[in-house]
Amino acid sequence: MIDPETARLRLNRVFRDIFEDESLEIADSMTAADVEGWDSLTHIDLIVEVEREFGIKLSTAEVRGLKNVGGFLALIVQKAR
Amino acid sequence: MPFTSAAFLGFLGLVAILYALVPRSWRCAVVLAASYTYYWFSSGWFILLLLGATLLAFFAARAKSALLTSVALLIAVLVFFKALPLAGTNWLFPLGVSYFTFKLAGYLIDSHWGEFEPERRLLPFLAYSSFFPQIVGGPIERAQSFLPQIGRADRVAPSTAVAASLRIALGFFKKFVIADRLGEVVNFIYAHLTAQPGAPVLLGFYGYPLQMYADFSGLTDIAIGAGALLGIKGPENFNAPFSAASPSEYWRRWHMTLTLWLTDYVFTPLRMATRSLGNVGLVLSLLVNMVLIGLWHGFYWTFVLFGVVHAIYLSADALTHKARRRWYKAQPAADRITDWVGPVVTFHLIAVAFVFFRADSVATAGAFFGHLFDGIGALSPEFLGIIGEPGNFFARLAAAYLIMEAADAVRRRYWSQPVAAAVPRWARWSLYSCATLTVLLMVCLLLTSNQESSPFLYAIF
Repeated sequence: MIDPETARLRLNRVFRDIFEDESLEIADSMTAADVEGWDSLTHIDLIVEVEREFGIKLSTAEVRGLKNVGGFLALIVQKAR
Repeated sequence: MPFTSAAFLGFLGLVAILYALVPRSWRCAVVLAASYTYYWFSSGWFILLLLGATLLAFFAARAKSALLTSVALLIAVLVFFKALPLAGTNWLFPLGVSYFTFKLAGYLIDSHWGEFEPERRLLPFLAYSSFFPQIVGGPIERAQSFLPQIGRADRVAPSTAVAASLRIALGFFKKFVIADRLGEVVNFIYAHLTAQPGAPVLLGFYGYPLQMYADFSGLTDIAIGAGALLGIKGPENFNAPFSAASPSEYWRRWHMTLTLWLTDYVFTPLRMATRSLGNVGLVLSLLVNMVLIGLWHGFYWTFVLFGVVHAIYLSADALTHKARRRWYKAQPAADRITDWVGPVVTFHLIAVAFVFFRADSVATAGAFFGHLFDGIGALSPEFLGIIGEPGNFFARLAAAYLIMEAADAVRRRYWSQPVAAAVPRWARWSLYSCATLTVLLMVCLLLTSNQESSPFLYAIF
């Protein structure tokens, strides 16, 4: 079981790496529109990095169903059990 | 009944009045009846194909079975009609088959992914796939956006009706004043490539993207405006595409609903499946996605090359993105220069790809590039017959283009919240009068002009 707060910190680090922005702070309501450079291409880079970081596998349907960072975090915590 | 005919405006006006007069519970039926009437007059018995495809998607989604088989069937229908010209047959083409099959296939894939509960009522769903403002050339609206709107069947506020009428008028302006005029020039240039040109081929290079933009965004303006008169706020298809500073940004601004459709249902699944391959997977996914965008327009090698050229642009863009970003961070001056140079370079890249799109064969595209700098000095009398006095032609074209861009900028600013609602009553009534006069003028011009507008470029796909 992964602690949600630890997961959040680790996810934040992944976001900073992928979008190369050391000041980036993730929030539950955040979507692709809020982050510069978050498009359909970098989205998959993000997925790959999250899978590596948390040792999980995500499906296309799961990735498609994501609505915001909060939902993404919840999915990670659930999968990383 | 093309959109730029007086008959269409009369039909639309009648349907809009009917929509406004009947009780709310009948409005969906009005929209549906109008859509099937329009389809019947445009494509005759192909109406059964539209109906059959819609019923297939509706019941497959409800039964939650054979979803992907149904998607395959819909795509097979599309492929069949796209491949017919290759067999040299002279069959008619079902209007909007590229659009309604994509709408329905998207709906089925979303159901397969469990994105929403399938629609339970048949009438709104029939109206979704056949919605006449969107059947000729999109935009490809998603069911999740359309169905709640037709379900509510909102009354159309006067301010919305005014904004919608003005938007339709803008579409007419783009089509008649810019696209058709530029089209004559571009057609002449492409038809006289190998003979002694007597026309600057370079003008065709710059003219065609502008013609295409005025034509297709004009068609979209009429489609979205007409939809708004029936209580449907359709998705935007263009967002100042030539201001894009990179090819990937261009695709987020050009034919946006098609790009989004392919991103969701082709690129993302493909990229997910190939994500372990790293950059090879990225390039492969981009190549498949862009070639499919090309083929969606028709099964010709020129469209394949159009897709390949764009895949090369997007791959180069994606693979160098991080390195460029780091470099620009260290060079703020260069970054500022690129803000200006980026759109210019991008426009030229896009224009190169458009040569393949416009040319009727790969050989024509080759000839075009071979003669790109010909004919700048000596204009033939035939060409002068088309453009008239050159200085005058360019001045009028530039003025029309500026008016279009200015009108589009105003439209982007005020479309979602029509300005009329926020201004005092006297200003509102002035606006209403101007809009009415504009529409009346448009109808008079259409009725008195004996010059037929050429068909919309995207109405054939």
